[in-house]
Amino acid sequence: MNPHRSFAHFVFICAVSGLGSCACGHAQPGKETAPPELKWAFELSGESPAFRQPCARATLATLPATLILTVSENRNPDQTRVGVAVSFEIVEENLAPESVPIHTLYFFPAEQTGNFGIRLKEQAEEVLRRLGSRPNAQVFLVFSLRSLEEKGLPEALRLKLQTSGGK
Amino acid sequence: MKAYPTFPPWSRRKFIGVAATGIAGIALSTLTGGCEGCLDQIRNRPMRRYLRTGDALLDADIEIYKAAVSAMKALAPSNNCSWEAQRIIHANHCGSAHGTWHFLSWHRAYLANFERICREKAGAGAENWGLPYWNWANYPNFPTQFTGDASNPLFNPGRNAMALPASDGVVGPTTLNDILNLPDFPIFAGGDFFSGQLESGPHNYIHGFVGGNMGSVPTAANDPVFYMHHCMVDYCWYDWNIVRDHANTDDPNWLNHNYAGMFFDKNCNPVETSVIATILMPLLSYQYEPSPVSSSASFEQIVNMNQRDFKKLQEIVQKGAPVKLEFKQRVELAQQISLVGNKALSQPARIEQSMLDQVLNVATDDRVLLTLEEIDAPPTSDYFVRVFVNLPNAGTETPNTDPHYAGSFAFFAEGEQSGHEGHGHDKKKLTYIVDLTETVRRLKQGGENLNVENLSLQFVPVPIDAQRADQAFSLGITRVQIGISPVKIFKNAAPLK
Repeated sequence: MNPHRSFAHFVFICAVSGLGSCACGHAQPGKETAPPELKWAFELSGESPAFRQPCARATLATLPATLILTVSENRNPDQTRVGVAVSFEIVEENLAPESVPIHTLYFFPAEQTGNFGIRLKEQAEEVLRRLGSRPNAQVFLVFSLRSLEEKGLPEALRLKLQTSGGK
Repeated sequence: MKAYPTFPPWSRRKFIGVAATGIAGIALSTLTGGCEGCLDQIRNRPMRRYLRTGDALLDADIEIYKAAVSAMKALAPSNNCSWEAQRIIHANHCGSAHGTWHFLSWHRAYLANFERICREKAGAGAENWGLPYWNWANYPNFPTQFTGDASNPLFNPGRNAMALPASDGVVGPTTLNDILNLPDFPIFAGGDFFSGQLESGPHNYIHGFVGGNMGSVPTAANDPVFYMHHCMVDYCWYDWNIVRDHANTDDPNWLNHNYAGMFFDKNCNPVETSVIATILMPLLSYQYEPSPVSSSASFEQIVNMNQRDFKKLQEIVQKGAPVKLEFKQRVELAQQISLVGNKALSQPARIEQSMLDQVLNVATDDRVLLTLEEIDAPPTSDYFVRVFVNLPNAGTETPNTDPHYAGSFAFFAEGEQSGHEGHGHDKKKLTYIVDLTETVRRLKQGGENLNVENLSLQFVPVPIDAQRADQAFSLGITRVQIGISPVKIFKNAAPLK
């Protein structure tokens, strides 16, 4: 399954169906059920520098405290200094998106692969607080590339990532 | 700038009580001659100062570091203490530490051994030198002491321009504060198969920020600033663990791990360091000059850090070491012995010939341990107790340099200080361990006739303060046992220079 297509499909269906926020993972559109675990696979590159995973409120409330982000492939021929920023994003029509940063990881060395532990419990709670009585707000868990250099993200840069739930 | 106190206003009485008790448990293998000689070493353990300009003590430390780097670079690469050999340690072995829960403990062990080599190679005046640390959270500009040209031993070619300071959003006080408040050891420090946020965030970022050799694992330790960067990482672990009182994992797969075949001591010989030893290092082997690491640290919080060191050591000692002793052989020597009226006690040790033979011929990797169990603590901590082997006339005046001396133990003060903290009224029975290994070996080598007929132990109460010598002292020990144990986990825990 192509994760990009499936997630884009989810977002599209949710957006046009007027259901508001979508469930994380593989829940059917329209059903705000929490997934048993966080398992997503995606790629980040200079051309596609962000991955946005929609999250329902019910999902936010039942997220595990941590997630493991696995970088299984890190093609960085220019050794550009990059990081992967993880954050929640609250989106509501006619309002500027709100970002709740979680953590930004960097690579040492530049081509590093491996597993990274990230705690998101407090940030998820903060998002829930901010949502309050905003039924039309959507929440996304966002993974985005960051460049530490002026030249920005080179086209050849490509990372394969996947997530799994922590505890 | 405010002057930070470098040592807490502990009373000598309280300090000795704490340190001596601690070492009774800690000095299983390294403190030959007993704990008393180490008290001053702990109190005056080397200071790791933070990099800045305009501080004479720091400037002096930088000059020592320059001398050490120059001396190590002058050594042949085949020399284990050479700059190149130290680089290779990181290049060859850190791969198993990065990305796991060994990230912090491995680098702490690496730095501690590197620091001792630096002291040795820098020469006179460096005996109590501590590795400076680069507090990039509050001093984000690249330290000027490391810039210039090849005439500066701390210069390293190929670094990035670093015209701007390190990113506040990555390593600044607010971000670092969030990381230091992470409650879980695996997420802060690393898990069994993944990186923690301290490693993946500020640590990795600074490597890339400096660039050049620092940006690559095989060459990173070729840049002299590498060690200052990792010293800051270590300071963060100290702050998280000791100051903010977060608990390290108690997973035995981490705790019981030894780093063998990796490091070298000050004499360039291979040395083994255990994970448990690294936990105690900031309390016993070196201390950090406080500097703020987060936006929330007030001056009052900072100046109290050394008191926290003390309290943490106290907690560790009272809780007992996280170790399960395994004895190959163990026998009881005596039961229900009492020390009363400040008098030394000479206790015959009932032991069979077969066990005595094992004690006298203890294997190189084994220890002969005396366990003193279910001790009724005395009402005050004004005394400590020296333990001797086969010296029936041992007394208060017998020095701890006597070859029969094995070790000593002491008690936490009950009363005006620890009593406030709720420890002084804890009447639970205590257990102490005295390592007899070196004493037995020493006596045997000296021709002492140790046999089943004459073997004895002496317990000598010694007043910490001579003016209190007349106060009543009593102590009951329910059981005394001697055993052979392969324990070696405390290797290097004590202050080593």
